[in-house]
Amino acid sequence: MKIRILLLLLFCSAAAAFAQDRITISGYVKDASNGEALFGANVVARESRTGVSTNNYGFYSLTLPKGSHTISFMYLGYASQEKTLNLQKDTILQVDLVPSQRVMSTTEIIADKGQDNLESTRMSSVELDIKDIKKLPAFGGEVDILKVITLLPGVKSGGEGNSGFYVRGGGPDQNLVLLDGAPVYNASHLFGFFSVFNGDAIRSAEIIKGGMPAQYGGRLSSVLDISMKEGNNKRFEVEGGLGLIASRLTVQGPIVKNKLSFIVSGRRTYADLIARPFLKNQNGGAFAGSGYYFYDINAKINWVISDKDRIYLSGYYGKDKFSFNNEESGFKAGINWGNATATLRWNHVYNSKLFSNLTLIFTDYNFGFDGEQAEFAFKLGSGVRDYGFRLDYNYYPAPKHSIRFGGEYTNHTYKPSNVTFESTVTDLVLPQALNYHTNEAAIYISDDWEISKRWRINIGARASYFAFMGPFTRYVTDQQGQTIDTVTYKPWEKIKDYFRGEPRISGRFLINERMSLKASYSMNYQYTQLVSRATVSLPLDVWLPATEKIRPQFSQQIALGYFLNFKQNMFETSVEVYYKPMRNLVEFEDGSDPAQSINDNIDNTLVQGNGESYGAEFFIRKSKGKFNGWIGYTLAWTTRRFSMLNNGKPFPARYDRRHDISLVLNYDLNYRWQFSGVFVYSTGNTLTMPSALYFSEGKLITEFGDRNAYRFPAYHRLDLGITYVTSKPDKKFKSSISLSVYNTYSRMNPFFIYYTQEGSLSEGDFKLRAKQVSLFPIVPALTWNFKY
Amino acid sequence: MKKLRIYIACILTGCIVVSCEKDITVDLPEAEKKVVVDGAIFEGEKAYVALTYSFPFFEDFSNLDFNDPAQLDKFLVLDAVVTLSDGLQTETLNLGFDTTKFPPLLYLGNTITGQVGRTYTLTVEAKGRTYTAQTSIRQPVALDSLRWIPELNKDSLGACRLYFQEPASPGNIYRLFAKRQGYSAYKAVPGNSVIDDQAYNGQYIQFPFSRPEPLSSAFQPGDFNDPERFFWKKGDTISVLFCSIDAEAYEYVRTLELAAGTSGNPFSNPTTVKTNVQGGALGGFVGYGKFFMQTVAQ
Repeated sequence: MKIRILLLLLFCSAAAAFAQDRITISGYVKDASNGEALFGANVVARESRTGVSTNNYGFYSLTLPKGSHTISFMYLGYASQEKTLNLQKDTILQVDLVPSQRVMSTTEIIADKGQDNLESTRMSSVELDIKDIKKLPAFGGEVDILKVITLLPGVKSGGEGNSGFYVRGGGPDQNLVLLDGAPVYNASHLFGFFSVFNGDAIRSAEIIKGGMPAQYGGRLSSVLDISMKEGNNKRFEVEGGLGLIASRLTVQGPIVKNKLSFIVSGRRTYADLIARPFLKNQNGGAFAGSGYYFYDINAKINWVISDKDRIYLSGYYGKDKFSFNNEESGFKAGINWGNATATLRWNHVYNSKLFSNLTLIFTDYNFGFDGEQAEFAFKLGSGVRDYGFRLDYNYYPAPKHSIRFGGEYTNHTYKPSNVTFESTVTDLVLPQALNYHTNEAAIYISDDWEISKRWRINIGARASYFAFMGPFTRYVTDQQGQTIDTVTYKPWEKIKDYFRGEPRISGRFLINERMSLKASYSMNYQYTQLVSRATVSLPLDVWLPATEKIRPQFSQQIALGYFLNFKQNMFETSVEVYYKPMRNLVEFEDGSDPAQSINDNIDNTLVQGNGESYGAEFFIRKSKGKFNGWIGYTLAWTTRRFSMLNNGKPFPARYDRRHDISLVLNYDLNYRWQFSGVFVYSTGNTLTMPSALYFSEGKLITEFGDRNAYRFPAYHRLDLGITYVTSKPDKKFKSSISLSVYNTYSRMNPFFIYYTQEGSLSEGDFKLRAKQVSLFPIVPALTWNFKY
Repeated sequence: MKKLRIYIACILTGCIVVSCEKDITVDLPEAEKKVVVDGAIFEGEKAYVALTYSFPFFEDFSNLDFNDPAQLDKFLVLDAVVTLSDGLQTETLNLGFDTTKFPPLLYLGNTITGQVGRTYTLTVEAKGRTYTAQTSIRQPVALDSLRWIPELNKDSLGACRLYFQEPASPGNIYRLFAKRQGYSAYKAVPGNSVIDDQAYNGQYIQFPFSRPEPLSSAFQPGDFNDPERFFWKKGDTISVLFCSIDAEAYEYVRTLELAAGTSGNPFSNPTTVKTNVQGGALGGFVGYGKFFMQTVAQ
């Protein structure tokens, strides 16, 4: 009810603004060198001291009183522009900002990033530009957005061999990872060592850890919104790199200058090509045909139809292929998985105050395992496929209001662990595992309202609807998991639906020019989850929807923040505290077995429980100057409580880490040399440890202690990077060599602990030993990059 | 060029395939010493129950001597009162020796023999606590045939397959025991020895099974270099007991084998064995209806 009154108030005040004698200036802000839209650029009218930022597509709309105005267009890393205009009627103004050369960065006046971090209502979010990400040392020389994201406070890495990330105590499936608007269900290559995002095809990334704006939903913990480059619409450009693990090539350019542009970017690893001759010669070629590789392709077409209409078509396709072949035993196995996404977007400017974006979305994630030996063949597959659309409107009725509204719809098909079995000696029929069909829809509205110079709020609401539909067969089981009945549903028959409201509000209070206070509250529902039988995230994990047995996950989050800028906004600092209770989290029940899912529903073996996270995050960032970077520190707690796990006692989550420190530094010495360093320290992950042993049926069985009661030693690591530009500044062909040193002091960070049995009981010298395995010692990598 | 290739391969394999390992000391909190019940009653046979204690994970056995009664007392519950009831009569089980079992010192039944359709209640009184377990003996299902099939590229080593018609009624659960001529006792087949009919109800079923390892594997890991490990050899007389068990016993055996199978896998979630014993003990008590069949591998 309160929300309704607030919304009403808000629209009244918005309407009141129309009465005045005002005009609106609108348009796109773009990069002059390649025509890429610049989002988050600041547009400020100097005299009236009002300003807006461009939206995700570079569009802005600023309403001002009639008359003469000096308007500044500013974007970090670009030279600012100021235009003095006598505005008498609504005006369209397209602005191209020129990137400031790195070599001149000390002399030229660089755009002020402004005080966006102080003044906006957004909190708990960080934007990263790919140019900054590329400066940092990268494991194996492969630039990885996800790895850099985990260097921000509140975002934790899953550790080596795990590309999942954990935001404010939430699981890796609670992050909505969007690539040009399409959700990516598995963002990892090589069992988690690399992410699927090719640094050459990406323009920027933004992570939202809390106070989620109303246009986003469906996940509890965060949104990672990754935007692909649009393709240079001024001139052709070829860019690439030769690395130790993979090589990359990107081609972009105009098809019709300033109108139609494209970008295609590809990447492939070649460990398999190098290993092939070795495998051929080893053991008489017994393992010939075994190998591993991944590749991915990003492509995008961007068509500027007119000042009012733009169309983008973008796609991603990537695959990991692992094969094992043992000639001797006749055993062959293959694992392959990959994502495909496609989005078609249409930006339309109705008038200077109303902007719309229609997106058609397709995403597909597939995992397959097949094995054969002699006359048996076995296949296991799982995945998710989504078809959907969303329609977003940005409405700027008055300078003090920026309204967003819209809706989305997605049809999901989940394929959990489909197993097929073939044999030439038997005609055993294994029933197909059941797909889960669901429909998800949401509508939202939000208003960013500058009440006064000091007060600004963003108030929003989201209503989400989720329906689990037939065709489906529910296996009704007794306490021992034995089927006692089945219930069959017809196609499109509604099995269970959920309708939920999700209010969102955030606000800021500007204390003075240099500091502000912010607060946010959000409520989120999540209708999909990744369930895992392992303690690391593997492609074997299965995505499942909410069903009539699994209730949607739910969280609330309250965050408070203090923001301070100093030295003319050279330094941005913030302190945020948050509290996030979560309900209906999902885990497999104890002793669940993949073989049981045949002729049963996988959600019959899941249990639900609650969780709680709280903590404080400290962040100091210097974005300008030769010497830049950030320091982040997180103090956090996160616990879980499931009545069916750990005897109902609360236990820490696996990634409950008390302290987490990241230090990211970059130093541009001169045109030729650039140095960077990353240091991370975090409390060790938790682990369930064995407590006792016993014999049952002659088997040695381990009894486990409390869940996650043990902690690994702390994780810390230093990475260094040096880039040397080999080409001359005035040459068109640019090239550079980068040396990345991962884990410089070769810290043996724990990856896992295992036990070895020594001696035997009958000999009287039986003993168990614990061994700790670390993945990577120091790993240097050399990469050659070029651009033409 | 070739050198570069080798260098790159070394780095890749060095980093990704081979990792670094070291011994560590793990401080674990002291675990509660629990009683483990490991009992069974087969159709037509008397019950047997081994009673042991669980022991700390890093227990030092370097001075283990089974001839020392004090040490024996540390592992075996030797002073328990164990009774069995079939609903009609009750008997007390007595401590005795059976060298085909592990541990060989266990509580053995006297008069009650397993009968199909009966439910058996086991009561254990030990160290001031009482533990109870219940199991029933289900009607066994007949096998159609057994057939030995040599492995690919092998003439005299192979797996054995069993064939049977799964009954149309759902809810059947099977466990397979096997032995090779010359072995004194049946053992559950390696890997998964239990299966329910959830996926196969009413179908004509065949599945392969390997040779169980000898009893001594309880004390020491199997010999990975033994070329005959798990194989049935041409000429072997293969005997099987194809047993039916109840649902509670199935949960116990299934999780027991899952725990044994994932034991040592650092990535798997810890598996807790679901006991069908009440009162805080570990282990299980299982009733078996049995069908016997024998074949010669050829």
